[in-house]
Amino acid sequence: MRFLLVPVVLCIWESASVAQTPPEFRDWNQFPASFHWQHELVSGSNDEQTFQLGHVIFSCSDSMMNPQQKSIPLGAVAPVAEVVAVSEPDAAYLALINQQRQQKLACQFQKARLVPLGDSELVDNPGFRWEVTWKLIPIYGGLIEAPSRIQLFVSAEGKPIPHKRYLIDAVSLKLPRPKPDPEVNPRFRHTQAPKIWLCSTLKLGTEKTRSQHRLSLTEIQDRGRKAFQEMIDLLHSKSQADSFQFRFVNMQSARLPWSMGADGKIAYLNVWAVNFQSVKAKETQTPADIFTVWVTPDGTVSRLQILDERDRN
Amino acid sequence: MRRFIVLTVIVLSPFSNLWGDPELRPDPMLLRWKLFPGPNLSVNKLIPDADPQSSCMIESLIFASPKEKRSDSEHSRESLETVVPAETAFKIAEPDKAVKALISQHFSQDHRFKLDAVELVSHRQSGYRWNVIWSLWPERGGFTGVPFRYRVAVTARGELIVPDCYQFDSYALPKHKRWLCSLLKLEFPEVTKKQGKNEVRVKPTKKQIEERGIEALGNFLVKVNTDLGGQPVQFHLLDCRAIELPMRVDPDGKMKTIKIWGVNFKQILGPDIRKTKDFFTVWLSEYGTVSELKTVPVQW
Repeated sequence: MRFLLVPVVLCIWESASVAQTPPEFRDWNQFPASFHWQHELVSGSNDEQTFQLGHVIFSCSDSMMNPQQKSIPLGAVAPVAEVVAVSEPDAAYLALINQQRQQKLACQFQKARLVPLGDSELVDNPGFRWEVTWKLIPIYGGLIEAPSRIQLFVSAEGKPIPHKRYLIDAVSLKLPRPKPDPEVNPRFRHTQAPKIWLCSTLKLGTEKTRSQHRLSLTEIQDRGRKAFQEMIDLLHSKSQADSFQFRFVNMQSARLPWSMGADGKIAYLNVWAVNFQSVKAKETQTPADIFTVWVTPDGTVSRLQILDERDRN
Repeated sequence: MRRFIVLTVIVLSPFSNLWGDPELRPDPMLLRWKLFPGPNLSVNKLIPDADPQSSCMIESLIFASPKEKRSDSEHSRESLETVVPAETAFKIAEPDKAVKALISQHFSQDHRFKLDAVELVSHRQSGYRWNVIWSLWPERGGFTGVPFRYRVAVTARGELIVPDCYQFDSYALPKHKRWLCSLLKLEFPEVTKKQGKNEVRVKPTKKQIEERGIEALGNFLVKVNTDLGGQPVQFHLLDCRAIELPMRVDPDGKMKTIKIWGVNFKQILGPDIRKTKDFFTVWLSEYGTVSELKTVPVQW
């Protein structure tokens, strides 16, 4: 009997640590799978390598990856063992991945690719860059959603090139299907109803998000509500989508594992989540996506954008 | 007058390859590949043992590296620290003059090898392996689309994994939704000597090669027609040609070639079907070994 107690206790201990995912991420809906405008939120250009895990976009621009200083020849690049060790996600990175994926994952080394940055026939020393691919494996088994492989960059000298991180949220508003006049448009083919996406993007890790100055809770909430109201006014006027009404739900605190502190413990980044919900959902009784306006403790509000699919097709 | 002649020679010498040097004029069997390119398949659909990350198909040549070597897995997995550095792998994997000549012959123009990447891949069973990948760019231009890539594998200890080279031909059967394929492994005759005795192998004559080709295709078509049903597929003999393929450079710098035979067949099509210039080549080695004949389903 006693022998059974020990493994039972261990099982409960393990599952408790997973259940300790902070509540502000646990009761949110999954990030909509049909959202594919990540590049718009991050830079608007296509020269970024990005991947998204949950509500965080990791992005690396080409200029960050191509050094301007003197290039290193092939014989002098950092050895592969060093490169792989340096690129391995540390405990804080893993904690962030686990939190956003709501799953306990481990990283497994897949391959390390040394890529020349230019044409060696045109340029004397084009320089190199390492790209290390890690596979994300669920510890308790089960399915994993895309992406299951992430690519991390290391310079030729062996210094990691970390991705920029953005905290985002997106909610889609479905517009009625266009009903064309068959006399005017005899060749019209039925397409999917276009959507309007409300997006909120906060760049993490900048000086502003790490400053010590804190505003009071009411001030934070006011800033969040004001920014949201401006966006909704724009939605109603410019996009002519009057039927979408929103109401304020609540304000929550969110804590993201950020980096390893000097004492070996994980240092966290605090962000406020000011949550809104569509009023229509209450009538139709569909579980509504919560739209979050992110506000840092010192009052920086995330950038709010309206992406109208009607403009883009 | 003399100066004029010298000048003319100097000015015109770079253009000597336009003269129609008979060695550079492509053989019609290879040239046909430009008009009728084969199926867009990964190598291990045709050669099941090939490792897709270090095998490649360039025009009608296939370079197939074997998958992970099982013998390495008996020892404990080497650690990343003992793997040879990237530069060593790159130098070892550099394609020699014979490979470049073989590829140029198939394209009927020289190509520049541009380094794409040197990657270290972790295989579960056999530890680590380096793959070196080049993309091919035609010297005289005229390129569209995705470049061909030449891939070679090097073990973690720095040994080159020499790929098997195959000459390949395919013919489309759109009504049956299949490709007919002929795959000949290119190797020097010494390799195929029987153990023990040094058999003096007789090289078949052109007529004998033709007969072997007809017989092999006939047997193959019987099997294909029973398997596929529908309209029976029939071919008639077109001609039989030999080509020399550069395979190896000797230590003294001389290029060694092997000769292979291609027995060409044209499909007998009904009167209502559009005529095509396409033909199917059954490859045979110099000593009469017939290539592997098989069908592959069409994939869109």
